[in-house]
Amino acid sequence: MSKAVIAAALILGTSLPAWGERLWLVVGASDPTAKGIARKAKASPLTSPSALVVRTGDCGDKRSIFAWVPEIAASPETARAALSRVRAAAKDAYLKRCDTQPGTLLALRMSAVDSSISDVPESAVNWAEKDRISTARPLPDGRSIVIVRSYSPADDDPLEGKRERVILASPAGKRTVLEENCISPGPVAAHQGRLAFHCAREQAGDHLFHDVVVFDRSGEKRAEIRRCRDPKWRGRQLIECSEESVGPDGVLTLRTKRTPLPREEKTLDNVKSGA
Amino acid sequence: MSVLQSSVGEKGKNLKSDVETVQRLLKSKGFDPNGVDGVCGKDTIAAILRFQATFMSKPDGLIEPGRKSWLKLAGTGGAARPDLSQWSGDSARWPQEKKLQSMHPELRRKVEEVLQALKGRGFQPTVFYGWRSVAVQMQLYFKGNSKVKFSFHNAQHPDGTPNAHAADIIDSRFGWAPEAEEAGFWKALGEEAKKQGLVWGGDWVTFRDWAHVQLVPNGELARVKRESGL
Repeated sequence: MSKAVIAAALILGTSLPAWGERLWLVVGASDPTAKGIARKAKASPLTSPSALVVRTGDCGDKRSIFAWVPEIAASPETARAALSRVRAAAKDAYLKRCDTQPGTLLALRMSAVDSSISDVPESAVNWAEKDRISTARPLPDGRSIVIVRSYSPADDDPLEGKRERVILASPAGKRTVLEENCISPGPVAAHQGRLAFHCAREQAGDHLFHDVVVFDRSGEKRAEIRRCRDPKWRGRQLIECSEESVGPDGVLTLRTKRTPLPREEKTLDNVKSGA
Repeated sequence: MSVLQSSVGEKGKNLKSDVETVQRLLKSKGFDPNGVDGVCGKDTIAAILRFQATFMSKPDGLIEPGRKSWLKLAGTGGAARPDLSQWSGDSARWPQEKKLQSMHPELRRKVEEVLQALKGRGFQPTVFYGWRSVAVQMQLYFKGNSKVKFSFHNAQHPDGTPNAHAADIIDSRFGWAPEAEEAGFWKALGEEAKKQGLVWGGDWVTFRDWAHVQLVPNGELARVKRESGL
């Protein structure tokens, strides 16, 4: 199969379509599930610091599966050489031509499944497939928000080690961690490069309480607004969100809250608001 | 054990008597199909989906004779099953005594001690949740209002009767409003719960659950689920 792929590649050439980058993926293993690909990647004797798990949907495939990709090449020639190397350890490895979809994790060279996912215990009760898959959300200014879903074992953890790290990724390759653990990050409100979103932080009966986190263009945290959701920008210096409260009857009440932001030189400590 | 002639649900044959049987069983397990009328409409299919979601990763909304969903719904042992309808509905609205009854006996004893101690400290504690059904838990999960599909609140005996390993305790004046924190209620709850050897959700740094106390540590969730027959 790989010979046919390589031959087709040589015939078709490597020109870039207008909408994406053409790459050659050296696929060491594939699997329809995130759990499966994480285990296959871990079991492989091949170690590569640049290895990624790629969702083939990032190449535009209609039926997306997960591929463990130890090497990525920009041309068929380098791909063939890479394939030879990989086949020394993974004899079923093959090449996949990929027209990368913009704004995807592959375009950012980030893995769709974190390596820690292979360590999620079989006995875990509340892990679902979606908890194992990282995702990217393009921003209007060309940058992306990446949510890296991972496993981090901890004593007496009600989330069974589920973690969601929020990263600001620029097309040039800069990565800034905005939140180390943001449970179920909400939609990102962007305004002139500034960002705000909410994270679930507490359970309150039948409801979740959230904190709104606000960042400047560089990714520095400017404010954290406790028990608030759905942030919206109201100009450069004002954030509006829905303040949450749950009464003794268990009913959630939302009330509009406006929070002025400090000027850029001020720090987070000036604006942290309590419940 | 109930008998099913043919398939019920999404793209099923949906014979009236079969639909009634399935609706009755769903209701008895707390997955209310919005009445028992022998008509397989969207409420019945939604109830089947919620029920299947408790043990299937991809519910299909279809109950077929001899298949897993039917065996789970009807029970395979043939023994008489308790009437679970008394335990259906919104368990947050149950009277206090019923909430206490829904708890594991050891949890109940400890929760009663905690309530007494908090009253002695001038608070007005009340149990908001003892047990809640897996069906209700799944609704919360799919609405995005809970992070878990199975919690210690959902623990049950293998016959489906409640055996909650967790309770949510609030001050009836405050609920989860900021006043609860300002009055020192959460701190007091944590102190009294730990005196009884309970685990307190206010200690969980990754995800606080201030009102929550439970009988055993989180690491025992798989065991409790298994012992619940789920």
